[in-house]
Amino acid sequence: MLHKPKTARWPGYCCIFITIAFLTLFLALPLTIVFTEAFRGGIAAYIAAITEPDARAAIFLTLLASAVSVPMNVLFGLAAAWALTKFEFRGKSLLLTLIDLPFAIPPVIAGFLFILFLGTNGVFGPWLQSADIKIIFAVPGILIATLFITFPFVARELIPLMQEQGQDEEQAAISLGASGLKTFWHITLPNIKWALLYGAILCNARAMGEFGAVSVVSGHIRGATTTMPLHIEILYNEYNFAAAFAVASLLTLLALVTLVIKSALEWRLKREKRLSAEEPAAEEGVIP
Amino acid sequence: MSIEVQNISKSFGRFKALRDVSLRVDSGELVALLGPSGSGKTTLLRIIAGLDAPDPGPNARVLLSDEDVADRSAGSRRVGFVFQHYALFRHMTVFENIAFGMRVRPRAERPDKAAIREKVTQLLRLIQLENLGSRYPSQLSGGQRQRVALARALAIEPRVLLLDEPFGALDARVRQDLRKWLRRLHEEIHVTSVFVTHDQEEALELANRVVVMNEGRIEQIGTPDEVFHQPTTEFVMKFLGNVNLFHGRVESGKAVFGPWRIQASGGASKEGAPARLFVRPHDLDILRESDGSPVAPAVVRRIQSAGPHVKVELEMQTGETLLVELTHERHKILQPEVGEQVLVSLRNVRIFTEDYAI
Amino acid sequence: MALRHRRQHFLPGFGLTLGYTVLYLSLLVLFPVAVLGFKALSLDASVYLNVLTDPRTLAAFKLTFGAAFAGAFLNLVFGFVVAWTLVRYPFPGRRVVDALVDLPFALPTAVSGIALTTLFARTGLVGRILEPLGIQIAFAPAGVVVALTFIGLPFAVRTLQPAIEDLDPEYEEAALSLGASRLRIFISVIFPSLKPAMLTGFALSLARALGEYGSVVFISGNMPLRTEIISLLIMGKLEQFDYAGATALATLTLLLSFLILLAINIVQWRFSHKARQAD
Repeated sequence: MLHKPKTARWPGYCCIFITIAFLTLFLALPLTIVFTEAFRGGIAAYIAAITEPDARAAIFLTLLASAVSVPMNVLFGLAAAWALTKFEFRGKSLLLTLIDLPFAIPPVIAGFLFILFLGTNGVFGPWLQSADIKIIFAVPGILIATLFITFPFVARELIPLMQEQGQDEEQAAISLGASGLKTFWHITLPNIKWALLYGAILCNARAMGEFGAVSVVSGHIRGATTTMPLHIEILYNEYNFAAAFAVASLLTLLALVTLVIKSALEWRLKREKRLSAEEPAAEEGVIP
Repeated sequence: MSIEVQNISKSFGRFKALRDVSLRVDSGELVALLGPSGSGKTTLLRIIAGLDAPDPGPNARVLLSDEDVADRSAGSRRVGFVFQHYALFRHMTVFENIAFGMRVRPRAERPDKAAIREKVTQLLRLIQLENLGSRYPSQLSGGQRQRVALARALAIEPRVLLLDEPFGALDARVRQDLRKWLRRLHEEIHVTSVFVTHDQEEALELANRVVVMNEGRIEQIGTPDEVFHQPTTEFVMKFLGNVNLFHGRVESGKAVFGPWRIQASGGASKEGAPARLFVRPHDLDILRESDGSPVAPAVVRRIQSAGPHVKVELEMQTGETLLVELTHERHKILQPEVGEQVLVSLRNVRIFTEDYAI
Repeated sequence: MALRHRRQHFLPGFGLTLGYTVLYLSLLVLFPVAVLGFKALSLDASVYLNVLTDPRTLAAFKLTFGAAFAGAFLNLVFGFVVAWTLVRYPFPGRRVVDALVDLPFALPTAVSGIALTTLFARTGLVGRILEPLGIQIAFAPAGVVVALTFIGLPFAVRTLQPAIEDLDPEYEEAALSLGASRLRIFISVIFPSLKPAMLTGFALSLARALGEYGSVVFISGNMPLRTEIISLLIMGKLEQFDYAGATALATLTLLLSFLILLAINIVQWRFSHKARQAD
């Protein structure tokens, strides 16, 4: 890859310069701003901003959204990937396309879908009302909207990988007498664990940070139906910038941690791919 | 333990992989399923293993040790299956791979740890990889992987051993060695084995019996000697080794090919029916003068004497090309030259007319 | 999704996993989308007409699609430079920069929104420099473009990067040995082989930009006719419980985005078709 022709070096320097300048402006500066603004009022104000009851409620709700959507979508991703990669059936490509659908729907419209579906005037509205279940403008609505937005993340990571790995190993395990569950647990899962974690990390990041869809179904009741991003919006619109950035800094830390784990996992996945694609070792110890 | 399949058909969509195949493999045999790709040999193997289900049919049956296993899942058939690309578990060591089949048994039937260790060690010795138990598949050579796959299949003490293109992915030299080794292994443990191959040499060298398959049907079943020397169909003749082909006709009960008139022994075919004569290159001889037997004139076009035989390419008067294989001794006596006019005589031929073979 | 009957599957769990997949997908995605579809079909044509003739809607459509295209285009240009640099020129800290490219993807959009706004506002770190030059970014259409560029960057870089990695240096070396200039090589050797990846990157960042809400609402200032995006208009209609109007707007937006992405897909299909024919 590092074949440097012995011609002029300026194009390289130019590219590096543009890259650094562009990324500084667009990535490094916003990142710095979050922390400088967060601590503008001092450490005490910072701590107060992230520990006041409304902030704590928002943090709790955000964690809840993630705690619901990550396991649910991991389960879905595993089921979908198993069905789609281990079997042949009609309608498979349609199903694959539909799984990606939530990515193609703008978050605000996604939130609106659930108002139409489950809101007071929605399809199930009268029924939900008579059963005294409130979903829209309440916590369940937020959870459902988050589930929708993060729906494809795990499945998308697993499907191509499992497709590539084929089903030889599973077949071998079954022919050796392993049950379906044991085959999944001992053979499939170890082979996909890094991709699964990767998908879960992305799913988690999105679940904690989702704004548009959640904003539509939340109703913005302070301390009750506001997630961290919504809490940030409220604070920001009240010109309480330092507090807004204080809460934002927590989400930024989460993003940075996500990036670190993500690139570590990418490195691992790449290495595993290389390992499995590797030619067999040279023949040795051939039988006399 | 014997294997028997009866009236098995299998289609994938519109493609018919197997058409009404029946076959019996007796206990202790080593049988080769030989055929070109798409002939259905791997499908048949997978159906025996329970990895694929045959098309349902009133008489379709798969029997292991004369017991119908139609309702038995692959896992409970106790069939050792060696996959074409080995399908070793990449995240497990060689030891764990071999132990897998024992470790996943239900608790009541599972051997204890020491027994498993004992068994794996014994198998590692058998495949001569005693020191590589802690390696991962990615650290092994192709031949080593192949042997680990075999040991893993043997670990469940299978009733029968099925091998899908066991040497397909290996290079020529390793292939030779492994072939010999597998032959010896079979003599030692004597488990009923069926392997799939598209390499005729492999099938003839290794198997007690060869099943030649083509387009989902069995063309011939026989010992290596039988299928090579007494092929019953054109396909078998052509698939097993080089062959020269002449086109002729039936005339008054005899098949006529240029100067050769060959008595059709079993029941005469229709007058004028097309006939085809097949002759192996080593069943042709080159003569300078006629020895009384029917001969045809030809011109020597090419001589290639490197190798176990001398290959001589002849051009007949009709323009057809003939390949003749001479022994080196015969070649020394004859000393044919390129461009020389010679005579060709036949020894052992097989003739196929529309409806029967001589 | 008719299953072929009598089909025997070798691995277990087909019915269970497919059933769960279809059920979960239906409950969470298909039914809600279908509800929108029914609602859209049951609307009076006048609702659509009202929405379509509202100057506010038209301005929002223009801004949303215009800014999304501008952002996707900027990402194509800068995304290419960034990806090229990351693949071809090793420099200290490259791995950190490489990981950082995904920041816009990992950072919650609300955080990006307030950070970019603060940065580009008249009093901000960058805004302060641009203000005397007469350039206003925050609370102007340019701000929307900036936010959408930020959001789409990882999509462009991450699709171009593997394509550049896969470029066979032999072609460049062959061209170089034939005496072609670097610019020439770029135009006639590198660019054509990256075209499909560029188009994909463009489509992905465009798709993301068309739906973006969180980062835009903060930086745009949300001035009617000037810096309002469609998502914000829908939000406004929802706040007034105008579900009919929201349905019309949402349907039109979805249709238009699908059409654009479909068109890009067709162009892309043609590219790959041509490439296959050339083989």
